[in-house]
Amino acid sequence: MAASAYELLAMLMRYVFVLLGALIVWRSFRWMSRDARAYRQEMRTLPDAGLVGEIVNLATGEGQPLPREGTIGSSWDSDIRIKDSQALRTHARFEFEEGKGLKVIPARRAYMLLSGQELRGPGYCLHGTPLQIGNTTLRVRLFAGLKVPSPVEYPEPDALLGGDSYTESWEGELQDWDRAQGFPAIPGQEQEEYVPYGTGAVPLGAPVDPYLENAEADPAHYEGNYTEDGQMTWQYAYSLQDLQRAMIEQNGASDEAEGVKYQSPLANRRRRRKRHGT
Amino acid sequence: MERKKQRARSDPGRAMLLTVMVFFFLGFFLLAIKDGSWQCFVLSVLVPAIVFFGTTVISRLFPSDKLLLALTNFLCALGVLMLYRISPTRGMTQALNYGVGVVCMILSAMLVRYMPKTKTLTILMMIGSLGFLTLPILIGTETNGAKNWMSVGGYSMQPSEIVKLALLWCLAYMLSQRKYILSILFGGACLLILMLQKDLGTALLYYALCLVLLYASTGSLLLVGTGLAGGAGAAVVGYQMFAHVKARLAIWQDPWQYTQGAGLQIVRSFVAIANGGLWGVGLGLGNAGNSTRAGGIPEAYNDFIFPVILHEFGTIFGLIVLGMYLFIVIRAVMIARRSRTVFYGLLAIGCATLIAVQTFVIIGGNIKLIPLTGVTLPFISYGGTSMVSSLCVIGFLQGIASRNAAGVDEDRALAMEGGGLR
Amino acid sequence: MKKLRKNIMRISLVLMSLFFVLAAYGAYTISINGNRWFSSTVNEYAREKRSDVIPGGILDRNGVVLASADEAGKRSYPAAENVRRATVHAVGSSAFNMKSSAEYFFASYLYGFNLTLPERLGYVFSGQKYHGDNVQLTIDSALSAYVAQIFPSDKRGAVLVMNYRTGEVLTEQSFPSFDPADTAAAPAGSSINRCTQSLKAPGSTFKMVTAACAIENYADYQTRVFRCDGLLQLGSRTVIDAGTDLSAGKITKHGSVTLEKAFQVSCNNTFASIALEIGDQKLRATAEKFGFNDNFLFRDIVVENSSYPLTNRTDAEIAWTGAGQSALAVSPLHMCLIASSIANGGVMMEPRTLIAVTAQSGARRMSFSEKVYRRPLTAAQAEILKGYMRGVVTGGTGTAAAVSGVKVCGKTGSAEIDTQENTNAWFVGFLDESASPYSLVVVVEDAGGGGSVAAPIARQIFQWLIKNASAAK
Repeated sequence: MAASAYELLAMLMRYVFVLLGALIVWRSFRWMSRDARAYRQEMRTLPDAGLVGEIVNLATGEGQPLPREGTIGSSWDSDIRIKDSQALRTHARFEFEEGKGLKVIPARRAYMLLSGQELRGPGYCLHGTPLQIGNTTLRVRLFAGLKVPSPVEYPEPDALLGGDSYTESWEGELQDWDRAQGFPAIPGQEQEEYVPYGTGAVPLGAPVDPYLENAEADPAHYEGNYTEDGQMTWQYAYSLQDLQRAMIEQNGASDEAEGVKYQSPLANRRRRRKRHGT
Repeated sequence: MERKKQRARSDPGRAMLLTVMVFFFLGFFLLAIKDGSWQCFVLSVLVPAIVFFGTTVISRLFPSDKLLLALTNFLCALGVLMLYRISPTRGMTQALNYGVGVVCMILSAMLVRYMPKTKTLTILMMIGSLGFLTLPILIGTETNGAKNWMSVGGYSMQPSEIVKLALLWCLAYMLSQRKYILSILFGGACLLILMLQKDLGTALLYYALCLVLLYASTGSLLLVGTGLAGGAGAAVVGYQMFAHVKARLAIWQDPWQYTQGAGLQIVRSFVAIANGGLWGVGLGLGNAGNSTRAGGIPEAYNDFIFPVILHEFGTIFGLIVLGMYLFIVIRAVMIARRSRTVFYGLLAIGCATLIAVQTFVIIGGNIKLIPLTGVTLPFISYGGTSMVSSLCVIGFLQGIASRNAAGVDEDRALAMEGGGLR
Repeated sequence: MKKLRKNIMRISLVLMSLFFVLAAYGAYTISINGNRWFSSTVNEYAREKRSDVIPGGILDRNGVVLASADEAGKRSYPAAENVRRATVHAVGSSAFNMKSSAEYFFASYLYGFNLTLPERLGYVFSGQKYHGDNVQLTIDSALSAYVAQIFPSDKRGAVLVMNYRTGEVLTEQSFPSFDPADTAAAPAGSSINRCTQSLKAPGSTFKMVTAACAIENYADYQTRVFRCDGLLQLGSRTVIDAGTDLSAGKITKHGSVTLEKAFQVSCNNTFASIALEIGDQKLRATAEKFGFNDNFLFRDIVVENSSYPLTNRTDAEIAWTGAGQSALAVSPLHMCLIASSIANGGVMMEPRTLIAVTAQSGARRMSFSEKVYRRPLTAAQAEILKGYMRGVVTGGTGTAAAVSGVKVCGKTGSAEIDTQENTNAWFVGFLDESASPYSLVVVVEDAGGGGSVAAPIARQIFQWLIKNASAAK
């Protein structure tokens, strides 16, 4: 009798065990989906999560988000992708080190310049450090608030842009444009600052209106954009009002009045880029 | 009182922990009614206590993944329950193993959480693990055709279980430094030693780990394809060289021809599963676990614990257990995906691979999906080294999870500080 | 990092799929094989549990009790001795491990493994032993007794009769048989069920498959003429016809024959040349359509798998395969299934032995329904083959099976076995009558030609079936 009583009890309990097990699995499932949702929501409020800054391509003005660790190279799955015939598929890798800066380790047989000097072993980048790979010049920008040493003096941007590789790339046109056309000075901002960042000054694909009628509607005005897949692109645009004001201040009066049609230097740049297919 | 209620509602971990503890209290209590032994009554309190300890202590120390902890502890305690059912002495030992394992889990979590990854540590680990792995060849004992056990001071252990963790760490470190050649050489050396020990199940596990980590860091299908081809070649060579591999394969093709000999285990495992049916025969009523009884599965406590679970708890419960393993793996993958650096990403996906592949290899062997190879079922099988190494894998994951959480905190602090670029 | 994250997601898909493969394969294999595992002879758990349970009774299709049990749980066999002997291979005996018998294969019903918790509670509170369910088989005990009576008592062999419309097995008999009430006197080898467990070369009965293959692959099968010179030399081996004795210089020749004629006279040379011409691949494809090389997992009957040889395919082997020799291995039940599919318009029904399981309370716990196993032929092809088989009985090798006034179709076979003096006599056939849709197979081992030994037995069974058509419904 005792044995059969135990048998019945155990046979009853097996349903209880299955029930409890199913409960645990069900709870885990709910927990996991909730947790994933919460994490996604949190990541939405922290667009810079996992990033330490960005790397700007000075030629195009495009910025690419900079994770803590990753690779620089021409392959499509590099974290920092550079379209340059002289760049290797994985040209260098980098990792952010607390208190030291962004450690860049070039791959074997990879030639690159850090602050204008050839990098043969690991080197550290701080905020503003320029990197040159092939014909491409990159500049590292780190977030404020990270524990890194303060930036040191770097060569003038002119020196970076005026290098041999640069002239080759643009076949001298850019320099011609820089010197001959002249860039309108913007009040309160120095030439040294805007040249590197201003080179890609107009949002890609936006119509350039030299008379700046739609300036107010420009969404990319000094803003970083997030594309749908979470990638961050920065597009630098001088305020078109600023440009307008600067033009007026320089020329005193409307260009049209004097019969000179103002050719936006930026539009010019855009056309050239198209021609070269960069 | 009101606050307590609110906390309980907001924290899914409490309800889960309570469910797990109730499950094992009931389980051991049922066995205690059957046996009437005091040990079992002690265990019915002790095991839920270890579950409580193992789930809560780490989350007190640093932010951790409580779901992962709850599931792991459930499986470990299920192992203790089944082993006690099979043999009370083994069950008591396993309860001890479980306690030691929980401590090791906490220590390994702290290692990952606080220890910076350094080159010297990795090099030391590499040398140590190669040496440790060769030891059983020199002083080991042979069981089931494989020479992978050794006994130190009366306590037998399986070095390959511990070296598994070192291999994972070293490979993750080297691959994060993009030292591919070195890591392939190291992985190959470990595999070769295991082949010499004829420990093919563990070799399969190491091999899968190496392949997965290589693929994760390079993404090169060519490399993985070469690795697979090499593995297939090694399998053919192993088939030609080792008699017990041939025997295993023959048994896999038709175990029913060998019901009185080497195929006895798997045939009895089938019969045990069939007897269990959907709902099982009831805890304490089966015969599959006890190899001294007629129809008992030999080595049920080790390789064949899963059929015993299916026998006594039923196929539905078996699917539930499988689901728990799946959730553990999904959780590990999530941790890998959220990790901030390559090293921790690789370490976490390696942990996921170890658990998933080991579970697949042994349960697949139990139900004749693949040829049977002797690896333990993580968390559940009897054995101190197995328990410690599986729980250390979870410890690694906890450490990485806490690092991820710390990273998110940092991001939040950065965002508060004004965020963005200088 | 970008690459790593992407790769991690890919790897995770692989890792998760491992679990899905495990769960899916596990569920599949347990649901398919679970009953076979349970009823296997090494199931000690079930053996242990059986001693605590009063086993349920086993009934034939008309309600005749073939096996029952007393209050202590001891099996008894209340039917008459000739019925006991005739049904023992279907019913089984607790003394032998007969894995295809009801005693083993339906143990989960007979020994109360499927009792629900409330039922168990009822038994425990009333202080009784558990009582297993009653099982009703499709077996007809009267037919079985008749078949046992007419089968030559000194021969080994097998007889199986089934309803080709529903797949119900009316009798499955293996000779020699034994009395389950007196197992000590059982002759050696009598516990093997030769209908389902013993695989043999089918001999000329396989020409049904070869002919089906020819009909499928020759557009002009009706008019095509084959030449039979009595000898077909292939390497060192020769295909000869029945009656040819090379040492005595006697050669059987059929001359120019059509497919239909060749089928009727069972011309080995024609079917060998058909097999060679069409090729091994297509012949095997047709054979596999009929269930060769398939894993038979029928719901309530255990049958050994038939095999069409896959290795050592020389021309001589292929030619002999077309005539039903070579390394072909078929159980009589499977041969009967092939004839049944021809009889049933190309639809092969799953063979069944179980009608219903009834609880001791009288409630019907489960009933079993018919199920199509496969469709090897189109209705038109089946009709043509049916005509050929009719021709065998009206004017071919199987005239001894003919019953006047009834359409009997069939195919004889005389399979050579190397270790035996005489051939195995086969007859496979069916009644092409809607009132009595029965097919049968008769195999008499080591006895001689199918037309002379097996066909007369088949005729007597057909006659009984027609006479008792209403009784054996």
